[in-house]
Amino acid sequence: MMIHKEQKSALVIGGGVTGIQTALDLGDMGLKVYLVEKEPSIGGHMAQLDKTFPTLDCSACILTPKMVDVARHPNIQLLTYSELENVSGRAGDFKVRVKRKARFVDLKKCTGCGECVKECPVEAKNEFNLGLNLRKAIYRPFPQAIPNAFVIDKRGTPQCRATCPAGINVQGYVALISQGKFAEAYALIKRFVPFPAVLGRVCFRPCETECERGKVDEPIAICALKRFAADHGSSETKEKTVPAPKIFDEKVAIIGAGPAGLTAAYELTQKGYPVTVFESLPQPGGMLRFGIPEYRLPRNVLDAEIEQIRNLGVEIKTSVSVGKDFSIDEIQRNGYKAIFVATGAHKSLKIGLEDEETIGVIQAIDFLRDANQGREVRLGERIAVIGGGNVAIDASRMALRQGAKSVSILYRRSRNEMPAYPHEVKEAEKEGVEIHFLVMPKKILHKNGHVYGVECNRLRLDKPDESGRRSPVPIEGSEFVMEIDTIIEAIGQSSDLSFLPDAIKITGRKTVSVDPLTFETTLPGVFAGGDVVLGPASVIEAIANGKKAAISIDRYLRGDDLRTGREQIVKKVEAVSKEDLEKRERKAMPLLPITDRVHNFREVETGFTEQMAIEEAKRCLSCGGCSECLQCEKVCEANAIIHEQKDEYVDLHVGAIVVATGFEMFDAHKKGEYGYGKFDNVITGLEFERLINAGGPTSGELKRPSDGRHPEKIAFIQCVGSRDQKADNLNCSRVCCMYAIKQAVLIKEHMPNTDVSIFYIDIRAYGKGFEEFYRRAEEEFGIHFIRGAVGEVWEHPETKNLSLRAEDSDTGELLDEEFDLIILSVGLSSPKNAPFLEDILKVTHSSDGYFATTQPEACSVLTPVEGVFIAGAAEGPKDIPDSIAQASAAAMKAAIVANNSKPAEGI
Amino acid sequence: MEKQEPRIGVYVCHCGSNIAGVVNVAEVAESAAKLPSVVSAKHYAYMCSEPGQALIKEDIKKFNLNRVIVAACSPRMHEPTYRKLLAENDLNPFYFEMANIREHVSWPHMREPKKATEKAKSLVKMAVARARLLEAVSKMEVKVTQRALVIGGGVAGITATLDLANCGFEVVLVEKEPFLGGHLALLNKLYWGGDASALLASLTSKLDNPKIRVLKDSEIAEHVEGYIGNFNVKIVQKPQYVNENCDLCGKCAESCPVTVPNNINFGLDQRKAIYLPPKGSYPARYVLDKDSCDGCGTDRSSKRIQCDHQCLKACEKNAINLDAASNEFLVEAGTIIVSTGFEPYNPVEDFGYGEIKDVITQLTLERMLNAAGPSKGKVVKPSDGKTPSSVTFIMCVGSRQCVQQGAASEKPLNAYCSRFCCSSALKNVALIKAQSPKTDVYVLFKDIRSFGREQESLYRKARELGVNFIRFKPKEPPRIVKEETGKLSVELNDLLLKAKIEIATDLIVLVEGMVPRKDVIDMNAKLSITRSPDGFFQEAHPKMNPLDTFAEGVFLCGTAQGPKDVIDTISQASGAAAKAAVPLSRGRVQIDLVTAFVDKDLCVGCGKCVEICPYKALSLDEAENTLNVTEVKCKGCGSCAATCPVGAMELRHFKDAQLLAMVDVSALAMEGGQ
Repeated sequence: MMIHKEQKSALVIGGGVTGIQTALDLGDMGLKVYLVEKEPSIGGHMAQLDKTFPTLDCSACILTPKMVDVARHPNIQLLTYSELENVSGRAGDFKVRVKRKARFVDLKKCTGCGECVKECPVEAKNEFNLGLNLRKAIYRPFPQAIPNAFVIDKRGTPQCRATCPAGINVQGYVALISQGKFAEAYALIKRFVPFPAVLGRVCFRPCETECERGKVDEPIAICALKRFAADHGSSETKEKTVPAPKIFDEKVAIIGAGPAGLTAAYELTQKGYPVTVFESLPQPGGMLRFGIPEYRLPRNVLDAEIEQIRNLGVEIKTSVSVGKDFSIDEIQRNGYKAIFVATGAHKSLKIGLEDEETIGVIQAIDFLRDANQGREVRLGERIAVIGGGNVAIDASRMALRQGAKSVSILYRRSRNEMPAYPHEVKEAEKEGVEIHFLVMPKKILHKNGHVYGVECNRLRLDKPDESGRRSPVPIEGSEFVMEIDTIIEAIGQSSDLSFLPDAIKITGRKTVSVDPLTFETTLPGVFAGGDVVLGPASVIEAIANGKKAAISIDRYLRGDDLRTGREQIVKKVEAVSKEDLEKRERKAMPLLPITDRVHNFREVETGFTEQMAIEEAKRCLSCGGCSECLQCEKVCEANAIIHEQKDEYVDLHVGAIVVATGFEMFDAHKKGEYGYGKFDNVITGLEFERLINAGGPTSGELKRPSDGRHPEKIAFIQCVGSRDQKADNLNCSRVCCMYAIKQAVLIKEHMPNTDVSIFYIDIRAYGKGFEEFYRRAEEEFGIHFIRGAVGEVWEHPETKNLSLRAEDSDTGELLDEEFDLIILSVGLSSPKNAPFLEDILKVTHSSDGYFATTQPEACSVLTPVEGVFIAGAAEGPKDIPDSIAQASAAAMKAAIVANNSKPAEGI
Repeated sequence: MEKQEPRIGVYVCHCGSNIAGVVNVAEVAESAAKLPSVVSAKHYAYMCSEPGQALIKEDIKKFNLNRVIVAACSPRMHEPTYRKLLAENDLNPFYFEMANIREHVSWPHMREPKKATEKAKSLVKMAVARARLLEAVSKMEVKVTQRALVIGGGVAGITATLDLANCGFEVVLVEKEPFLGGHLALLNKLYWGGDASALLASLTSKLDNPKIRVLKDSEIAEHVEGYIGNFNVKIVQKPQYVNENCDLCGKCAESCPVTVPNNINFGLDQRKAIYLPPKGSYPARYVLDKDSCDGCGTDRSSKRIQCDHQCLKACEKNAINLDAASNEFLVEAGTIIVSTGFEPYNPVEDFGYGEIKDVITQLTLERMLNAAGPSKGKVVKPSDGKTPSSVTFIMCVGSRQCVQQGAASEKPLNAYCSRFCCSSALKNVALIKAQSPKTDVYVLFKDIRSFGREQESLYRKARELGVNFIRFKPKEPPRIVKEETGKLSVELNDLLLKAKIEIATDLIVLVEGMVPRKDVIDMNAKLSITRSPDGFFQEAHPKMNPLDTFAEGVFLCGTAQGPKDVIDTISQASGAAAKAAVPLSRGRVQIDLVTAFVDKDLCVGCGKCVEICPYKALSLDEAENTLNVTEVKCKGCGSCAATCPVGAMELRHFKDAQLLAMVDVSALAMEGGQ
């Protein structure tokens, strides 16, 4: 059968057994059929069942051929992982919009080999097995899935990644570390930033603040893990660093070899540009080298990462100063087609007290620069550091290491307002730094041009100022004098902008004015980023600026629009399940003992051990599902992985629509008296199906969830969520009596000595062969049928056995009986997406929650909307043959409408 | 056909742990690999899954396979699956062979894994032996007659007919009775509140359609000839005494002097020999009951009153022809739908039915409750026409019957549940309560099976109305006691009170179940379809193919397949229409020629095979003294091959050599192995 333009068409929504049958019948009748299924595979609930009643046919065995038929049917177009978005028009002429959710795996290329699964580091609850075991983030719902292709479970950008200014894929490298893949973790970080080892030591880790794990116990030690990856995973990569091929001729000049400048250089070199970095100081690194003390960032670590940047092909010229040695204009005239200004903020701000020029009053930035260069710094014995930022902390700890006897920090607000990183503050205090809060220097006391003390005011906090922090107000008469011999001023920095041409606009804050999206200055071809734009900020922000500027420069040089598509809207993970999570302590960063620290520059933080790193990484909740670690991409020989795939929309034109959206299982939690969710050994009938199934989590062995023991005495409780006003469902669910009897028989077949009882109200063995099966269950298999509703179930805490109380309504006797396992025969509920379908299909539902049909005509597949039909459990609970008969009926009705309709338009 | 050296691929399926849990599948594959002509032998978790099939497909290309064997489940399940796979890969589908190592090995020998593995190996060995000798079987493509035949004009048949006609196909609807409507025509209200006659009328009103030909009073005359796409059906129609000129004036009935018990109302009242069928039935036309009327004017039976053609005289429209003759039709049809319905269980001798007037069936109650019925909608005691002050329903009469040890019942016992009766009775108790609230109503039941949508509320409503529900154990049915005074009561064991109780009652309603029609045996022979243990027609698969039969092109729906209510019947009817529409839409069908063929050199022309062939596919060629096979008629049953005394007849795909090769290797295995 060829699909030709005149072909009539129909849409089937829902790929369970009903939808499958409808699609096959319609396809066989020669109609073009679109079968839309929201899950990654067709099969529905039937695929989850073990055997079917009353013939005990293997469910998958009888379903699979039909699924394969769908896949191969020339008239059926299968749209899995897809949902209905909109419907308009009328019978014979419906226009339908379907959203095809990104699967991230190319259906045409995936061969289903499963190599990707072996590499995937992320585990998530296996929905197909009802969460009874785990699956990977890249998965196939079940072995017989149609299409037989994998799918990647992506739930959005995790908070850690969304928060990182540089957008580093945190979850990715954490996941890789958890698998012991340290080199892969390092390589992944390097895809985002050139400084994993540096960031792993000095980053202010905004990601950790947002970490979802923090809502359970403590955030993941992300920064420490990054450092671990850099320290333990980098050796291979270092050797591998080879010059990036030069693709373009346009030279780029970068002014300033700090983190912003070097990152931009790294990115642009990788893109194929010749890049030269001009640095005024004798060595590259900027604040990383001249601001951050060595005990926090060992120089060999920094050198190694800069070396890699050089190895990539970046030319770094040190001790050349723009403004002094040459001008911006000259750079441009020398053939540099684009310039990135990243000169930082190296000028200290002064407090503005009288006699600030006195000997013994020094600037923290200058002090740190000199000390970090190993120059001799003259300090007194008693030091006061003024300020509350990271520079103040660095300066005070550096002063201790330079031999100061006492170091005090004077800060005008309280600890809560302090901008310095708390862990640094803590270490400074442990090392002996004394912090005076709500104190402000008022007057420098000096004798013979040399400082001997400082007169201070005590302050109190008043109303919040513009920054949102409460502003300090001096307390009158609170003046006191501190005797010190050195004052280190650490109240802030600014940039030296004197070298910039007039065409580049400066802000009121004395920073370079740039477009916040593109980092372009007011002079075309000149870009700026890092502290020179931000004011004194953080390493990660500087790096982020460098990355963004590099994108702009590339676009600028390629003549592309600088802005298109850059205002990305990050789709964050919406909700992260924290169900069943055990609290697990965050691994603390091992530190050098205090006694080993002072008077030397040894690194204080010593890093995680391998075991610590793996354990810590395993605490990650994998909020985003797939961690985008890209391991699957690496092993997929078919090149089927498309991590950047987007949702797509497909417009269809169909003559008729069949709704076959099935049912949902009643949520057994709602019947609190049975203890589901509370007692381990109370399970649902559907869970039983997975437990007894060879492809299930226990490979078909029936084991008690609490201890894995084979249960010897089992009870079934019928009508859970059916025929029950309290459960909001008066209807009989039609299948539970028979599935319970089937399950009881299966238990007896597997373990003949098991004692099985079924507690029921009425046994509804109404279908063909059902009563006969019921009779066999009782007479041949010796299953006990007890007519009585169960009132309550309780657990024996030690054995985890369960007792139930029921009244035998035949005899009026009250029964109290203990069991190893209780199986709840939960009923069927109308699917939750029903209201959505109602909205777009205008099909209403009746009081029982299921779609309304036009009963006066007694045709259960008709809806009040012409051309829209309904079949299977979407119309009300029913078993497989009744669903299939209805499916064919709906196909018939749909074919009649579609045959009187306009031809289909291809998609 | 070019003879190829066999190149066999053997694929052993784990079926999850269904097979692999018992049989050492790797060992089976290994041993298969050593067998002659086997070039590839593998095992896999689910051979039927897409990756499993892809594995075979890949091997066909890689090893240039020309035979494929799958050792897995029953061929009934998956043989079509793999044949299709072969066809898709340019191999004749009959180069496929299946070894059943699940139903024949892992399931029955669950506790003997070693022996099971050995048996699996032998079965594979036998399959290989046969596969080496397999030959291609060709297909015949035939045109499909663009017409369907629907047998049975109840609600199922009418629905299927309308659907097929609306889909653009011609339909012939055959009904045995003088009017269409089946049991629905007799019912009063339906459980959701609708009128049965209104529902029927809404369907029958659409039957006047140029695509539809209704043959009432008609029966399938003999065995249906032909095959899917081209059935030839001989239909005999009784004489049609009243024609379409009838305008329902009723003068004929008024004038008719013959009065007989009204069968439509189960004898509760009388009707004339010419009478009007129930409301909603089709066609809307008087019916002349020739059995009652016979002799009119001719006095062949002395018991009859002479009427002298009163009706003929009374009819002003010339609508009556008393000389009408029966007709014969030969209908060609592409597909057939069987919607022959059920019969109500006849409770003769049960609970005093037939002896005691006030013991009635539920269907009789339906007629009573019907406004057009004998008591104009009032429930009355047949004995005296008075309103009963107490009515007792006994459920499951003729359904869910227990086999009584030692009881020599002549009637077959129906183990099955009749599915519709609970909701039907719940509807009726409410109707009784509505017309006489003071009447006490008792329902004696085993289980209340109000499983359908909105049916549970009927049960609830009945209890709210004060209906007494009393449960009895299937093995302890109630007993009817009729005192000499004529008073009726029901005795039963009350489980709760642990005592025998007695309910005094005026009217007892036996809620009768459904049984297969008496002519079911005749029908299944005529159509070559099978029956399930309950006596109803058997569907091709109880789960996945509820509407197909094992006879290709013949479909089932409604109560012919098993008891069910109107809603489920209507669903099935539309479903069966879809199934029947498929070959009609395609226009052509392919038939595998697994047929008999004759070795003319050996044939002695004895004709034994001609006698035995159930399909009339063989004919003696007297000139040549040999046999001719009409391939389209041959169904490949193999009877002829078994009968032929000289071994001249053989069946394609089941040649002696192919089967004997299997026997040989299995015998060898036994000699060597045990």
